[in-house]
Amino acid sequence: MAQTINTAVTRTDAPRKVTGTATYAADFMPAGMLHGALATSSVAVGTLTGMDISKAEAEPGVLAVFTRETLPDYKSVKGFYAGGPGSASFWPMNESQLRSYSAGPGSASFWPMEDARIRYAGQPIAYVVAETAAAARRGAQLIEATYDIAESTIAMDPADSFVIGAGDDSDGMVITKGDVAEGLSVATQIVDSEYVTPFQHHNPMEMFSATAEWRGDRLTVWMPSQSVKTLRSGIAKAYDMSETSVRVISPFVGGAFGSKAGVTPYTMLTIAAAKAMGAPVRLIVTRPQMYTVATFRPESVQRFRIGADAAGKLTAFEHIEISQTSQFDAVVNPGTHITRAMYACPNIHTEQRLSRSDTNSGGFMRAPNEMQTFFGLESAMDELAIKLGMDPVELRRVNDTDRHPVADVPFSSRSLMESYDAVADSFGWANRTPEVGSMTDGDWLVGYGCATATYPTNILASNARVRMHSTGEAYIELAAHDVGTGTYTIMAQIAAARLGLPVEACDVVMGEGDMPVAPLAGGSTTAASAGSAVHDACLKIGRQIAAQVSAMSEGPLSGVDPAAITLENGVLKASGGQSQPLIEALASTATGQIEVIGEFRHKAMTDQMIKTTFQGGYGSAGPVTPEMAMFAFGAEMVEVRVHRWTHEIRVPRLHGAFAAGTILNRKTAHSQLMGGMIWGIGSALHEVTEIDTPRARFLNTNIAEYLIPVNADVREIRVEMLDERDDYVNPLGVKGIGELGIVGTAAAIANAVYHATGKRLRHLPIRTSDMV
Amino acid sequence: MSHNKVPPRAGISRRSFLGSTGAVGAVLGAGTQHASAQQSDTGVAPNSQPKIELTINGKRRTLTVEPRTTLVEALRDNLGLTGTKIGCNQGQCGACTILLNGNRVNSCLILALSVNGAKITTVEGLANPDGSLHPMQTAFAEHDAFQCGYCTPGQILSAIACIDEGHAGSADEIREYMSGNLCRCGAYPNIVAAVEAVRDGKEG
Amino acid sequence: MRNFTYHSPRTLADALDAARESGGDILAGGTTVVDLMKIGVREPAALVDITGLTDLEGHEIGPNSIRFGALARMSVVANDQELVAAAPVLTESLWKAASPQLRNVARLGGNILQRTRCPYFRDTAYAQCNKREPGSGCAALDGGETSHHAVLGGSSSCVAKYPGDWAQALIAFDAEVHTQGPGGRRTILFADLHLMPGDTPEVETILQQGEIVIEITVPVVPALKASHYLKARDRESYAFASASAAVGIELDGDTVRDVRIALGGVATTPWRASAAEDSLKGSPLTEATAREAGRIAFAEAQELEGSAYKIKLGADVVAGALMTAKSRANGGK
Ligand SMILES: Cc1cc2nc3c(=O)[nH]c(=O)nc-3n(C[C@H](O)[C@H](O)[C@H](O)COP(=O)(O)OP(=O)(O)OC[C@H]3O[C@@H](n4cnc5c(N)ncnc54)[C@H](O)[C@@H]3O)c2cc1C
Ligand code: SF4
Ligand code: FES
Ligand code: FES
Repeated sequence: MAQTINTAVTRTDAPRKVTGTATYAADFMPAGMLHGALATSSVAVGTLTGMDISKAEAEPGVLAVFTRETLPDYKSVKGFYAGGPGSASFWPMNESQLRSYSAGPGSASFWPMEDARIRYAGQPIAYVVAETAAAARRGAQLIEATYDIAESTIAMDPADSFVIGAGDDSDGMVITKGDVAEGLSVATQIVDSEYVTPFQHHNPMEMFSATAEWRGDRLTVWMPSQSVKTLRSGIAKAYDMSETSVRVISPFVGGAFGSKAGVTPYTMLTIAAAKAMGAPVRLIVTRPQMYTVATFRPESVQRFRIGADAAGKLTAFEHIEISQTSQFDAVVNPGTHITRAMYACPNIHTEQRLSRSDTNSGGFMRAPNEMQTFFGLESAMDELAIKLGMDPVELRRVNDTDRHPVADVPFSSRSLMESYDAVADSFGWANRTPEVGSMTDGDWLVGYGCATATYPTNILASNARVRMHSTGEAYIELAAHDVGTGTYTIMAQIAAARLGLPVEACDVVMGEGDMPVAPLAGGSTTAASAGSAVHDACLKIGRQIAAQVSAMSEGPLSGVDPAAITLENGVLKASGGQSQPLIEALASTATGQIEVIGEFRHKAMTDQMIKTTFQGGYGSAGPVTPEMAMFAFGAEMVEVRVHRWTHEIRVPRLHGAFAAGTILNRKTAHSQLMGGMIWGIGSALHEVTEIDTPRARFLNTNIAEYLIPVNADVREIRVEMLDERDDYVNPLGVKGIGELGIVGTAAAIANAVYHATGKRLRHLPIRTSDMV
Repeated sequence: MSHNKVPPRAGISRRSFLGSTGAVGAVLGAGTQHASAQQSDTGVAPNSQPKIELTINGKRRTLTVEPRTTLVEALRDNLGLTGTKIGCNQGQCGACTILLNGNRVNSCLILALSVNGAKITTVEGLANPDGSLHPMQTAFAEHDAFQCGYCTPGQILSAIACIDEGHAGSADEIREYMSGNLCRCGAYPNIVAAVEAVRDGKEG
Repeated sequence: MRNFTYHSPRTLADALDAARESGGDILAGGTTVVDLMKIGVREPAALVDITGLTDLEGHEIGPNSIRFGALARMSVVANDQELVAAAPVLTESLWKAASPQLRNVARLGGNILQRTRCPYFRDTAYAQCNKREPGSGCAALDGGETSHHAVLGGSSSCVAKYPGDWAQALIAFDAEVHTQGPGGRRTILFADLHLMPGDTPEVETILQQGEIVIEITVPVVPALKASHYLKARDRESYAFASASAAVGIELDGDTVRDVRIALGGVATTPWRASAAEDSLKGSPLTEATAREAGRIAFAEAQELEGSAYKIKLGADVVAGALMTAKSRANGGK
């Protein structure tokens, strides 16, 4: 059988996606389904003093208007972020944090409609159920609420920031190695700058939705989810039900990017409404409401002080990140943990700080630790290179390191400079003339910029069920998710390669809470962790069948020591040279089929981490284990053009080279890296959730005014995937690629804008208005 | 393919103007009969449930709607044709793109009542009855012109129209004329490649 | 969306009756009106769907004037190659607007009457918006985010910008709007159609309730041929203008005989920059005079917090558009 790994297999779900038969959550419409709609608060902070629901109730088609007083059996699910440092991407987690985190996977610790408090604008205050979606939405519009309004502020004040769990419990939030002051005093050049990044919203194309149906005491929930386990265990716990009486179904997810990971109030409201109505209810959250009923990327300030000697070697590295969090949770996406892993330096100080304002709790959005911090870091490195009069690529080369600068363990693999060399080649970096404004083309100012990309390799425990039939089919089942990542396809490829079957014969079923545990689809973990569980299952099948056929009285492997038999590309091979195709061996057994559960555990995983993951949490080992630092690396180069008259900034070319261990599927991996790079273009030039300061509201809450790139913004994108072998990270040698592509782009673009125009922009996004 | 259309090319328009029967109307408005059949002088009342008839993917369908029912909700919620997606409900994303009398439109800003009698093509109507795919569907699959697949039905219909309209002359033109369909996953370069392949007859 | 009575008249007379009797809104393509109804900003009791009046479709290039039916579609007009050659500004300002799908639906009459994208106007959660709720105040001016608001034509009641593109081409070229209303037929200079906000930002045009736009005419002048619409925006397509300019030029040797300049994305209404035009007439058009014209176009501009960039950007866009028009006047592209 042909090797299917590292090839360009077309997605197995492609036929369904191009024919409209891929079913997303809101496409399920259980019989008798009613429609829900949310009414949300117009003020940010205060107390709800009254609500007139009479007009809403009178609207034809409206069946019920639930307020916090009238919605029976509404439960909240807290704990995902609650109890201190507990964002899913908080890392590394110590044991006590893991425990608090695993206590109840859920969402923000403040939930709407539990009491009369209003703590952020756009907070749900009522839930309308109607015969049609239009009537429900109209009902919600007709609700009139009155409030006691208190003062509110939506922008954080960076001057008023704090470190969570400081002191002994800081666990990496503040780290000092050597003496930064000393390092700065011996530096020839110092960059001391501050970079600012805005609130951003994920805006997946699929709107948030939840459909709930109760049948007696059994509950089915359809909801686009990055973690069906989290969802199921949260709901079951809230209602004190056994997990097996809750079905959570999410076969296709129309983009998530971190926005569909938790258990959200709108889901629990829908479940309660369905219970109260005695009928299934579906809620589709409106696009504007999507900005306030779930999470977002918090705004941040990145402060860097970096010193270097004349040769460019870093003498001091200081990074203080201040990011926004809500008044009720301490959500940390610790970017300093990543920046301090990048470059060799004897004197390092990093600090992870938070500042509060009146919003719902933020969360993780594609490269939650890395996007904003690498805009800062890689802009600062560019500034340093310019001060030193060095080529920016050479500055990275001088400071490349094969050991983690703080943890002092080796990288399990690190191909940073190989990436730079590859991308420099494809991009034509040598054609760059370093002087600012030296490259023009007609009415366009041209600039080239580059930046480093990285992404930590998070590994989590996972199981997977694989059943193989001697008729030549395999069924692979696990609670993993395909959020566009190609998971259906790569799981089939892994099984096909191991079992010696065609990819089409490997049927992958995912996205239900009942299936074997797989981790949350976040932190670029699925391919590595869940994929390794599928891999393990296949090897188990090989061992078990080997044991059976070796015990048989006849057959090619009869009498061979089963320990001497290995499975290679679907063939059982004995050390003595005898062999038998697995499928043939399977056919010779009594049942002609075999089913096993594969497991992925890594020696760096503690029991507490495994337990956390199995309870629906995020028990990641790594990226820094006691032995190794695990990161994927890459480099990006970009050509930017700024128009002389319109001052528009355009990106005609963006190239990236990435090394992320084994590439399972060159087609889908290419798409993911490319998609990440396009997200980077958005972050650099388009995306910002604007704020209305006096009323503490997000302002441009739609996708006409919250700009994301359109087709015409994206021109030549080139993605190179380097060969890289890493035997430490997992048996497949896979690192994550879902987020790697976005990480360097914004800085590369900012650096190119500087090269074109001489304008150093230290905030995102960089817009026409910055160019005049 | 189940729709036949004359692209909305200009030039034809000149023959028609006020007073004459509009040739442009005949092209773009073809088959759209107004709901006046069921309405009295007083119009269709707010909470009435008028019947309308649509030819969807070649099949006649009768359905009852409210005046405020949008075409996309009529397709999805009334008829169960959930291949057409909603990404914003406000004309901002193109996920709800369908062909209305052969022309691509955002079905979320169109009142179902206002297109009574129209011919509609949705993603469900592209493949042949034997299940073989429309060339654009094949091209999207081959070129990995999607990731999550949510924007895909709209992209595919838009892409078909893009070629029919004569707006697929160059990669730049395709980019511009496919910009009414947002893809948050960022599949754009592959979408352009798929459109080029179909334009050049390399698929199907 | 509030439910409504739906009228679909077959004749203009019926449409006028329905509009008058119901007090409802006119529905053309619906890309503005249905959107606003969905978000609760417009709540008409009735809609009068005029798309059955197919007589109002179509457009025609005559020797002296170009006529556009109020129901001509944006896409059809934008694609008319004869019009592209005769009056590029009239097609460029259409295809650079909205998206192909929206342009297939939206009609020219609706296009010129599109409403502002001011986020406070479009979100009923904000109690203050004089345009939506007369007398309620202006959230934008009350400490709000104003970087996308108008720097020309604003008042202390409202600074919402007119978002459309095509209107700039119309105002630059002295278009006229022909209507039929309760008071009969009338012809309005396009420049008089839109009203600056003053103390009554809720009144955006001089049209009466139930008055229907029938057609729009644009006199043919030499400057139409050497015309251009330049639109600056943060993304390459499907975005409203940060600043734009509709220009046209007629040269007599090196000297400017006729020049037209209108500004988009920066003013409360479609905006003719007459003083800037005057500065060029009779002079040579050079990069320096073009820049000076751009500066003059914004001489009266009033920046709000965050919107100063529009003044510089708008001036550069005017200059850049004029340079393209000049090259067109000289037979270039
Ligand atoms: C996401 C998005 C992006 C957009 N981007 C742009 C852009 O970049 N540039 C741009 O210029 N526009 C843009 N638009 C606006 C779009 O061009 C307008 O919505 C459209 O042109 C309106 O035409 P319509 O036929 O749909 O009008 P309708 O919505 O039907 O009507 C608009 C208004 O005009 C009235 N009306 C319509 N026809 C008549 C008539 N004949 N007589 C009297 N009153 C009438 C209606 O009552 C209503 O008040 C965008 C719109 C959307 C939704
Ligand atoms: S600028 Fe005008 S439209 Fe915007 S809030 Fe103020 S009054 Fe309303
Ligand atoms: S759903 Fe219709 S355009 Fe977005
Ligand atoms: S494929 Fe996900 S939005 Fe386009």
